[in-house]
Amino acid sequence: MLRNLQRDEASFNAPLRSEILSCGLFRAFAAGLKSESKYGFLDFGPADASIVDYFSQFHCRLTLWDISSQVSKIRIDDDDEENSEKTKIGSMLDFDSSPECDLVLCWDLLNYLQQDFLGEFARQLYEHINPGGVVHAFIASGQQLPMEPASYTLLSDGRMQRFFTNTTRPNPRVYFQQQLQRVLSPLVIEKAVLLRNGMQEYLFRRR
Amino acid sequence: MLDMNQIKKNVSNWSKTENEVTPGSTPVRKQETTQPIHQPAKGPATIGASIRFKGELSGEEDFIIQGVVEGRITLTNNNLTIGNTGRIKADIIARTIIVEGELLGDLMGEEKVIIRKTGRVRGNIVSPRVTLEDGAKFKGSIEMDPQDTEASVKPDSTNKTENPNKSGPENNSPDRKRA
Repeated sequence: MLRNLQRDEASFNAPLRSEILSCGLFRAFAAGLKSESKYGFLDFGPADASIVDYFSQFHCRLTLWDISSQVSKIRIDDDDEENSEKTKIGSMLDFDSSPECDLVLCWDLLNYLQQDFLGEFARQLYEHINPGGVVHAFIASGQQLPMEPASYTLLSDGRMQRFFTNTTRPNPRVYFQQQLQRVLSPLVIEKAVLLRNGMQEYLFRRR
Repeated sequence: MLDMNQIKKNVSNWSKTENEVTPGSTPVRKQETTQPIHQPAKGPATIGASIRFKGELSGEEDFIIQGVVEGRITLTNNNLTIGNTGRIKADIIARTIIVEGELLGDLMGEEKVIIRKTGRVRGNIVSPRVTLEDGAKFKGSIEMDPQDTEASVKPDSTNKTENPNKSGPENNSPDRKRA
């Protein structure tokens, strides 16, 4: 246990690397948002100035849950029901206090959730997405996954900058398209794009 | 050697008021201000770092909190700054709210809310303009309406911003623009 904590401490203090990503699906969806409508946006990632700034052009309620980093800190050797990863993550997802939303930003989170929890996660999410609303996700499909979810910044040229740790997670959970469609079944994959860095950009839609 | 006559003369002069100074005597220095010497300089009221306050706080002047406050804060027409050492557990209504310390509660900023890089906020924000500096921590929801921003900017025609939706001059990340 101590070794785990030490490893985690080291990884959270590890220097960050960054890379630039295109995010065509995100931009395409955002381009269709109307200034006269009111929207609900939900971001699971840490609060970022560029995200707040970007969405401030819309009449909206932007909810920032900042649970990505907490998810990665959950010890993966917890196996009793009360302290299981599923229970802990479930307690973080306070959907009851969150209004329905039109766009959910799920960047880097899904790789850090166990497959048997993804279905429950998708069902809860589905209930809080307005009809026609979407989940925008970045999902790693390579064999290397940073120790904790990356953070993202929107750049002025329409791309994103992704910040991630050098240290990687042992036995990363990697999900592929068919697998995702199956476990996230209430949500439908509308589009998926393979990015240069090997990640997939997804747009899931509630029908 | 002490001159007793001179001493008596001086004491007599000191005891007289300014208007009673006799011709030829040394004039008493005119007091430059009528205010007490220890009156604090005019500026925002401050709750110092060592102060702990529990209850409802309201007023008609700007306020800086460096201490610990729990309850409710209402400064409808004024600005509130939660300083670096401020620890607040309260719902807040103010014209402008600047957070540099820690806050747990809901914020209603009639003009704007700014969370500085040292700020840690957990709660919900309702304000036409919200600025989050790099490094600031926030968890909660932000209710934004750019039309409210335009309305609040309009009366001051000299306050021209390049983009009415942009979060204002306090934003320390000018290179970050919308995608």
